[in-house]
Amino acid sequence: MRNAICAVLLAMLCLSCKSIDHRREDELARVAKDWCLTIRASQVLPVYPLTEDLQVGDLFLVSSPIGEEVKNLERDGFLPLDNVVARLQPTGWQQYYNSAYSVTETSVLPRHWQFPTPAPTAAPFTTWAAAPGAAFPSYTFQVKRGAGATLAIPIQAVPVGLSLLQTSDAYGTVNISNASTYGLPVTVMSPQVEEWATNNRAFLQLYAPGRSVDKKGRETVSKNYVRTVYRVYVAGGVNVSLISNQSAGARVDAGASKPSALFDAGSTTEAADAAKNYSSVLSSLSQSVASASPGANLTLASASSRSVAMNETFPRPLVIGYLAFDRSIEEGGLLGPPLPTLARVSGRTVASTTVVYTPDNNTEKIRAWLDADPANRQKLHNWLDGNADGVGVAVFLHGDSYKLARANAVKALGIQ
Amino acid sequence: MTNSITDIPAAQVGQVVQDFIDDGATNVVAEIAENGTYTVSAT
Repeated sequence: MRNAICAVLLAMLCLSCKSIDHRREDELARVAKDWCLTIRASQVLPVYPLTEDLQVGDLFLVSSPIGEEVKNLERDGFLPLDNVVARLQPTGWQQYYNSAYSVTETSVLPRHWQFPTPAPTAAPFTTWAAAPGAAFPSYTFQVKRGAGATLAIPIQAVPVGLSLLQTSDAYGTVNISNASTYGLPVTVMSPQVEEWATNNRAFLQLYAPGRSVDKKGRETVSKNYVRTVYRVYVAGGVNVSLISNQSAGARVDAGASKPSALFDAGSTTEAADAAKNYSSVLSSLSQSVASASPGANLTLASASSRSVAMNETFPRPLVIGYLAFDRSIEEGGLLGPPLPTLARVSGRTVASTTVVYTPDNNTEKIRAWLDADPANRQKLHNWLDGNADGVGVAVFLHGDSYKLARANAVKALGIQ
Repeated sequence: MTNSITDIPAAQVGQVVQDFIDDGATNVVAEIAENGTYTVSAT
């Protein structure tokens, strides 16, 4: 009997632990998604977790079907960047920026701003301030009692602020500060990707389209893509403001409770003394925070008994978002035309395409086939949706980068 | 949402414009470049 009771209690304990784990996991996933949606609202693909190690010219292999990528983006808010295949060292910076932003002929970005030479001897240790600026909307979040005070973003100001307020029930705002961006146009990056592809044809051939037949006898083609980062957005820090939700009621502390040292305007009588005292308290709190959180560069901007605002500066700016284009890997390891990643995974029609006029024999064949029967146009559209990201017929007929796709269409649609 | 085709020889501009119109484009613009070729854009 005793064993049975123990087994039941153990099972209940396990289920309880699992439930807490799931709740915490859900909370972290939700916060991560909210953060990513803020970045995505600015038409930028979010990076999660934040990293310094993502640059313009990074190439990733994408093997997930487009439908799965769309689902990932909707569910998690970000796309995994787990399959890096190469890092190009792009050229063309000086021409693109026309020597502005301290970019010279010999500049290598982002190293030029990330590790300037000679190295500065005092903060800031980077020259990102010289890079083109960017701005993002603020991000609001809520931390509830018992849901964990760990924010799913690497911002140390949040737990420190919660600790100062002695609360685990607060809502706050994160403002991304000192944001910068740099990048190259697709027309400059794409030929450099082409050059890399030429030198790595054998590798790319391994990822040529795979064909399979489903139970209904329909042939499906699974494609892989080379994703190229052509613009990144970095943030130098964040400004975090937290407001405690515990405006009323008693607080129960477990263990030794530290006395609150936050400023309370209601306890001062003289305005002049209040300002002086406030400055003094803020200074001593900043010193206290600095000594309590080594490694984090936190300063208090304002504090009261119910709210705290802190500025956190990252040691070096972190990448928070990027823009990329995808090129499909075709037969023989050849690359298809560049298509914007964000548009593809957002389910939008990829329409903003520029191609060079380069028709071939298949252009005439396909046009004659289209003219022969009006129904053929819809057949071609269906084929383009599945094999060329829904590109328009005119671009498909004449574009230099659709030469291979035209040959495939002639074969697949039985065009004579 | 614009599709553009560049470097089109003058003799072929009409055909490209027609291809855009056949595909449902309602706003087609042809511009001449310095080298005498054309760029046709459609929305």
